[in-house]
Amino acid sequence: MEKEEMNVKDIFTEMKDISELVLDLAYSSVFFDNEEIAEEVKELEERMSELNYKIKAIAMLAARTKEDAENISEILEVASASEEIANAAGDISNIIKRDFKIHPIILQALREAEEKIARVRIKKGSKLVGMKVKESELATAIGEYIISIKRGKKRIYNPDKETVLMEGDILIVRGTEEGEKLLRKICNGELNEWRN
Amino acid sequence: MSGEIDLRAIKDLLVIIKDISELMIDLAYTSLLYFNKEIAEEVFFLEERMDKLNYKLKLITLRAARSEEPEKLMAILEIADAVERVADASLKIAENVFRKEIHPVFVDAMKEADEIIIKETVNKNSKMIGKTVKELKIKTNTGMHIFLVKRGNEYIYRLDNLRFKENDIIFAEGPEDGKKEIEELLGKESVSDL
Repeated sequence: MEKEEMNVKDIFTEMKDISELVLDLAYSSVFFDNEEIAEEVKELEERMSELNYKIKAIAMLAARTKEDAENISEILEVASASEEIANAAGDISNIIKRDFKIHPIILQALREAEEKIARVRIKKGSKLVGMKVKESELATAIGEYIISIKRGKKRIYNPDKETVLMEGDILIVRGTEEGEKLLRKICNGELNEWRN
Repeated sequence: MSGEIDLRAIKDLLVIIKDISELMIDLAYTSLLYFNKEIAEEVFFLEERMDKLNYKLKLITLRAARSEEPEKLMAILEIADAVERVADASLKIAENVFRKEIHPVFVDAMKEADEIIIKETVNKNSKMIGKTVKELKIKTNTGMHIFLVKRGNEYIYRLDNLRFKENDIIFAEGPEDGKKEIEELLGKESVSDL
């Protein structure tokens, strides 16, 4: 494990962010039979267990009195509940890795009801490089919402409008089939005019 | 024939269960961060509802297995199990709100310290009735973000096309001074903090 300085607040915040994201991705991976998204779920699940390990290690060092211990157990409970959420999400997305098949009629109906989650990398030469999320107008112009950005080993959850997009960023987006097609072109540098 | 009806029922239940499970996680953390018992109680309520829905989902799935290949239905049971665990975990998170005080770590983790959360009813004379969030420009005008609407027993959080009705209960978060502005929209005499 890489050395990484985090305090309890940082850890808890990231656990919360992962919990809110991971289940969504898990459902999407199954409903759209998407292994790439299932892979994201797996990574998030691993990250969550790493965070839980970190928070336990910190907690053990911090407990000096009985009162400390009680306070800390509250945090650990929330942490383990968060990990449980990620594990359950992992089990859902595992459905597509195992030989389980969902009845096609059900899948078809679910796909119609759902917005599609996709994973797209920003390549060199894309207009998006160096652009703020706000400027990119991806949501308003093509209906694709960025829900998370993977930048190397780092993840940005719920990026805000001022976040600057970079070459190599992997965007996790929610939108339509059509929007995804356009976004892929934009990220590949094949489409330069999309903004209103 | 009945097999097809069951499949449709399975799909409908899956959509509801998916939405509720995601909502439960959001509400559980929200209740913890705002140390808010009313929101925590929503999580409790949803957990009970989830139990019933899950039971129904499993039952229909088993029934559908009479006419459909069981193998194609296994995944549904897997999802039902996982979702039950998500609901239980959300409950565990929300339960902490019934302790004496909130742990400072959770207070620190709040995005904006001066943000509040409100749960309020749309009144008879409200300007919101018949309008959508977008038409009302609620975020721009009040700074408050409505993240959930409860209509009777139904929770609605895809709010884009929702037209408000009298007696809708709205859940919103935002800066403290947005409260007054939203009060006005709600057509209300007095608004209480949660």
